[in-house]
Amino acid sequence: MIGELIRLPRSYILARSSAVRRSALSARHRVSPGLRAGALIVLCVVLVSIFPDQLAPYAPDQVMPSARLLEPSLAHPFGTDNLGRDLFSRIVYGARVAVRMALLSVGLSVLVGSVAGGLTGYYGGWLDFVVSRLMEVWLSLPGALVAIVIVARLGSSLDNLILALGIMGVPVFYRLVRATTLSARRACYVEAAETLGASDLRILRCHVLPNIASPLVVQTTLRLGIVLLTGGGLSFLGLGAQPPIPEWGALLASGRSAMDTAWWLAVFPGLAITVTVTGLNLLGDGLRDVLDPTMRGRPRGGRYAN
Amino acid sequence: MAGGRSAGSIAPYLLRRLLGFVLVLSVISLAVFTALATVPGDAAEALAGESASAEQIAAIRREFGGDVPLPERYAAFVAGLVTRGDLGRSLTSGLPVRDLLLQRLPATLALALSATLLALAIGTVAGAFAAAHAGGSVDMVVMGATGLGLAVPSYWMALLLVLLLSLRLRWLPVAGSGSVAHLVMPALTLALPTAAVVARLMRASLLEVAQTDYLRTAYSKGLGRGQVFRVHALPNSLVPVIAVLGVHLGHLLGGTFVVESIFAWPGLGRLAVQAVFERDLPVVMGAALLVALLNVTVNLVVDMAHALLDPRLGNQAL
Repeated sequence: MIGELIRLPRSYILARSSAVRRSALSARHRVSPGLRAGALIVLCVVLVSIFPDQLAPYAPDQVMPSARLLEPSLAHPFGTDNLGRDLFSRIVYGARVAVRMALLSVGLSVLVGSVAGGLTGYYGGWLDFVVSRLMEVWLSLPGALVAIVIVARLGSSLDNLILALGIMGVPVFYRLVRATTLSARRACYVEAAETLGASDLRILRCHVLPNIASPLVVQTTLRLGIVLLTGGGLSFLGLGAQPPIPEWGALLASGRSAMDTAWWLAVFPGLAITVTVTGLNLLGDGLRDVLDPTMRGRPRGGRYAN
Repeated sequence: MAGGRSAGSIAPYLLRRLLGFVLVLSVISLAVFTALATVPGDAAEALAGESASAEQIAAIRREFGGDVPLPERYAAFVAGLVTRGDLGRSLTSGLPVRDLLLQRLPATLALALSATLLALAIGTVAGAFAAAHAGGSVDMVVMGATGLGLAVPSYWMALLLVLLLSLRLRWLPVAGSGSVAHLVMPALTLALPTAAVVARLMRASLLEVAQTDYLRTAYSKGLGRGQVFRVHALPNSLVPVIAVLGVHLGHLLGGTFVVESIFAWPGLGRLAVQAVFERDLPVVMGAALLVALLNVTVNLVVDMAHALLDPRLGNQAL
């Protein structure tokens, strides 16, 4: 009852409780050229993945026996492969595969990791101890190893690869959300809210979540790039997307045998991956600078990083 | 308090770390075992594939123990592993998995070690170079290169290297093993992402050390730039690099799956990938466990090196 009378405005609590208070004015000054470039690249890739039919001159599996292994030209900007398929079209359709793979697997990691991290960070206890130790072990394993074990068990397909990549990334988000939840949990404003009778759910929603948003967004963006690299690698090995799915890593693999005479088959798919991952890295780093400059300089995980 | 720590207090620390080591390995082995060694009996045929013979299907059924409950099978597995080093038999060749692994291990170790040394050499030099010219165009170029190094897929880098150095220039052999020339491209491909990370860390670390009081004191004592760098700046700036090195060496080990496959390097990674294709799960499990063991061992060694190198940390840990 007292809580109803002395209900503090949510905006007041949020303003006091945010770990980093940034005015709209100063945020604009921190938008770096890297952020703009990264955002532009990512936007382009996303647009390509949504409208492949408009951009690609041919269907990705359209075989043209008379046009085998043609050099890049106006008709075929990236050349053709050993079956006469237009590489540019295949790469364009590959963008859809890439976006789907990245979003689904990272989405899985974020969902499972965040829920687990939030709950164990908030309630603590022996469950927190056990799960955290397990996650540490999980995190210490090379990502490629985890993905390979899962694909070995389930079989080589794009869907299994997505599942494997998702599982691979769970501990990253677990650790992030748990750490933020822990520090938010101990803050005075949460104690105050509890005293006022706020339910656990309300505390999680109004006080913990806003603080998690920034690092979560940054980490998700960076993680998308890592998943693209690892997923492309497994598809390259033949353990992920199976032909004729035009996944970029798989495109590199199929072009490898003709690489000696058809250099374009080994160059353009890899270029697509590199440009997209660079865009994601620039975007992630740029967002980090905008959302929380105090986070800058924290060592980012390596390429196959968990 | 920097410096002194009593010899007697190292033992409990070592013991704790070793216990943790064993515990971590147990958890990993249980997870891998559960994932790969629990194919139910009626899935044996599916596992064997369409062209499997009756013997192969029977071998799979035997290998995967049928109806025996998981804890019992895991216990038997650990017992066999610890007493006899038994990791089962390959489904395709029938050879003991342990023998296959030991045969391939030296090649992977050689590759991983070369790649690590390369990564450290290139990374520290590049990072130091960038720090020395901080803010200038050299710095931007190096930082841009490292950014690329983190975005370029290793399998693409490998193909480009082969295209350039083997097919066009004919300097190096395309694939295989047997000479140093065969090692160059795989080691380089494996090393580059780690080199990029080391370069960035080294640069940041050096720039931070440059601001410290003890460095200014060293200069004011009359020490020359070279001496200050070698004796004071370099060792201190290496410590943060070593701190995260364990994690990145783990990624390097993960990278061996792809790199060994591309260059037909006869190591564990290539063995594991081939085994996945052949659905030879005992071999996959063995290779996965061995790679995990290497990973955990490397992390342990690096952590202890870090604790020893940084007396501040060493005192806290001990």
